[in-house]
Amino acid sequence: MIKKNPLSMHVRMDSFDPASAQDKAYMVQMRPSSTFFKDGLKRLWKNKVAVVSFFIIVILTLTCIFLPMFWPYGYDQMLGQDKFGRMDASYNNLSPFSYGATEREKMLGKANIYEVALITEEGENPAETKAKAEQILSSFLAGDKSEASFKKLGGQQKNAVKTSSYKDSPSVSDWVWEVSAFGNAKRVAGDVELIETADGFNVVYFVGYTGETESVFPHFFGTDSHGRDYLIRVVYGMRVSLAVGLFASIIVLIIGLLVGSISGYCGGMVDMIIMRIVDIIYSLPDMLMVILLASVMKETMGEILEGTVLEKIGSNIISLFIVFGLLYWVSMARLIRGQILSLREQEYVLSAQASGAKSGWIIRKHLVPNCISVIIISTALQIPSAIFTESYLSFLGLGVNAPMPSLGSLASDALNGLYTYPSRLVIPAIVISLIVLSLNLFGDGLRDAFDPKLNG
Amino acid sequence: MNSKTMLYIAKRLLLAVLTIWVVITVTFFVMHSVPGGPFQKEKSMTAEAQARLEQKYGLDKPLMEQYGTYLKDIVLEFDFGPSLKQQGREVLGIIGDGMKTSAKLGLIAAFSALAVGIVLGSVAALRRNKLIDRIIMVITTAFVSMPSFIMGSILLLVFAVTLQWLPANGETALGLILPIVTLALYPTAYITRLTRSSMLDVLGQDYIRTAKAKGVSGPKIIFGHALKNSLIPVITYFGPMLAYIVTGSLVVEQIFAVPGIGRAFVSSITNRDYPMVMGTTIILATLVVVMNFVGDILYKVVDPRINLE
Repeated sequence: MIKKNPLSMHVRMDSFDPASAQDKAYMVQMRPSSTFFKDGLKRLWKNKVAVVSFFIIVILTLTCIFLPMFWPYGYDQMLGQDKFGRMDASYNNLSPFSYGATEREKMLGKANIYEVALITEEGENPAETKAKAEQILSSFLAGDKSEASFKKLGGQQKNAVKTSSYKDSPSVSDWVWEVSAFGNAKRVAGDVELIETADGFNVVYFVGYTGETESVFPHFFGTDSHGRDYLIRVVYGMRVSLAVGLFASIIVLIIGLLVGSISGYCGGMVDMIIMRIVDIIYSLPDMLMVILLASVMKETMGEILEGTVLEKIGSNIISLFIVFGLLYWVSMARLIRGQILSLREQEYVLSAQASGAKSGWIIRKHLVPNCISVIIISTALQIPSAIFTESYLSFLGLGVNAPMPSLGSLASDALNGLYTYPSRLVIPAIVISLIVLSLNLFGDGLRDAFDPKLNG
Repeated sequence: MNSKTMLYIAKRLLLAVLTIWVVITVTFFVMHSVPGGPFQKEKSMTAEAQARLEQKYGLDKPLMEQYGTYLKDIVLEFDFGPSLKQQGREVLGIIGDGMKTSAKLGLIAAFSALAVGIVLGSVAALRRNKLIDRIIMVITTAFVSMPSFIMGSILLLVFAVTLQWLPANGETALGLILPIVTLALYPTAYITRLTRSSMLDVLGQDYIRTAKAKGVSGPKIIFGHALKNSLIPVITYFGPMLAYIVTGSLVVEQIFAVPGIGRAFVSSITNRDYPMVMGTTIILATLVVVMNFVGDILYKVVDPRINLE
């Protein structure tokens, strides 16, 4: 190395040597670098409202997915209906935490009723039959539950003893029937009663119960006018709402992304035509068109869907998706087109190009991160508006097909019994407001965290 | 008004007319795509009677001819044809009857929403981050997230069923209070938020600072300088507000049994009264499109800074 004269104009050549490992280590940043998404997540986490909303959404979603798996009641199961299709009206319109007649008996230990009827045999006098019955009953109550004299009830043959078919088999041991507790609630254990039937037989009838209590799964929100557990219906309604919101937003996203990027990339005539179509669709009064299309597609789609899996979801929901696909993509398409147009002209893109960045790098590092947050945010904000639309249509009777519930149809059904059963309106109302509110707040939080530019 | 503005208005007008034409066309073809036509569900009708009915209503003609007649009748004579289910009545007459009630409902709701929303929004902006601002923002956020049918049902439950202060039936004058409140709540909340944010925007402007520096009093700054400019964004909400009130009135009239156009529309959907559905859709849609047009034009005229494309 040349000894340097401080006054010399010579350039120090060692300044141009490649940096040693030591020099490089000196330049390394001490703080770990943060990516765009890490940054955004950190900002999101600081926003308490958005975090709370996020957890509410997660809890509600998990409830929708997993609760129906272990819930003992089905959303269309009429609890008062027995296997012969008869209805027990005591199950209809239950208020929260109350029970139907048979459930109450189960809980009191009256469900396992042993009921025996003996018919006076030929040559036997009714008093003897009665004495025999009393004897059997007393041994039963003393603990003798042998099959010979008793058979556990649990079936449903209401008042079977009074039918004439018993005439044909005369032996006493055959006169043990399964009789349901229905209609016999007035009988108490130890009752022995002599009844004369219409066809002239003397029947001795007695009842005993084991006193074994059973626990019954409570109806947290009561039941509706058809005796269906209301909680599971609300959960299914939530399921429908969330699923519709999610799928509708995905449909909107796909169509909007496709049309918007085509319009943005191609430019020129294609762009002009697409944007004029977008303008027209954008200025259509969407809700009126949705109602019109939904009401007509109910008629047209119903026949096409018959017998397919989609029938259960209902032609209305399919038509709702179609309507969303037809009408709601325009704002997404506009947004994406605008993004693409403006991002291409950004200075940092120009700067990257000038520094010799390849287009792959520019797309990965500049266009996608800047674009994707806007897309995700507007998709997230699309979900509550789709839920809004679905519940609105369901409320007007243009939503899901019965018996599948939706939060809108539950609220609309509740209006009929508003004076007597207000809880049936309040519950879906709270749920739907909670869902829409937390989705909105979470979407706002996402926007604030991931797109500071939009933050006006 | 310069030629640029005129060109913009002409363009917007063309778009509005085109939109109305699209609405009419879509409505017509959608309604005529229903399999079987409007009389098919009536089982008691013989084939001959059905054919005669279809002849009477012109349903036996080719589709394009029907479309031509329909378009001509609407544009030239403003004639939407007879109702299929309400014998002897014209669609326009039924809509006109319903419109009287609905317009009253909608206009009162819209004006009270504007009045209350602007006041609340200004108050919230002037007391930014104070307790009253927080309260207003929380309440409006809740209202914005509540569908109109939920709001209506809850109001019905609270004020008509539980407290029994107001009648549940919207046929009397007193009974119109709840439907109006239901319709007005969402726009009020929206206008409040809109006014608040634009007022905050305006209050940060240089000319307000200048006014303050010159010693202009607080109220004078607000009413003389800030309010006028902060109301410009509210103008753009006219169209969407009308659209909201129109769609909201469908369920609100259903809930409170108001004899308006919304209830007539919903019942014509369930009755499959096609001319009625078509007529109502077209008229309501035209109303919304016109209102959007007027709002847009006003916006550009009021604020010359806005870039005309």
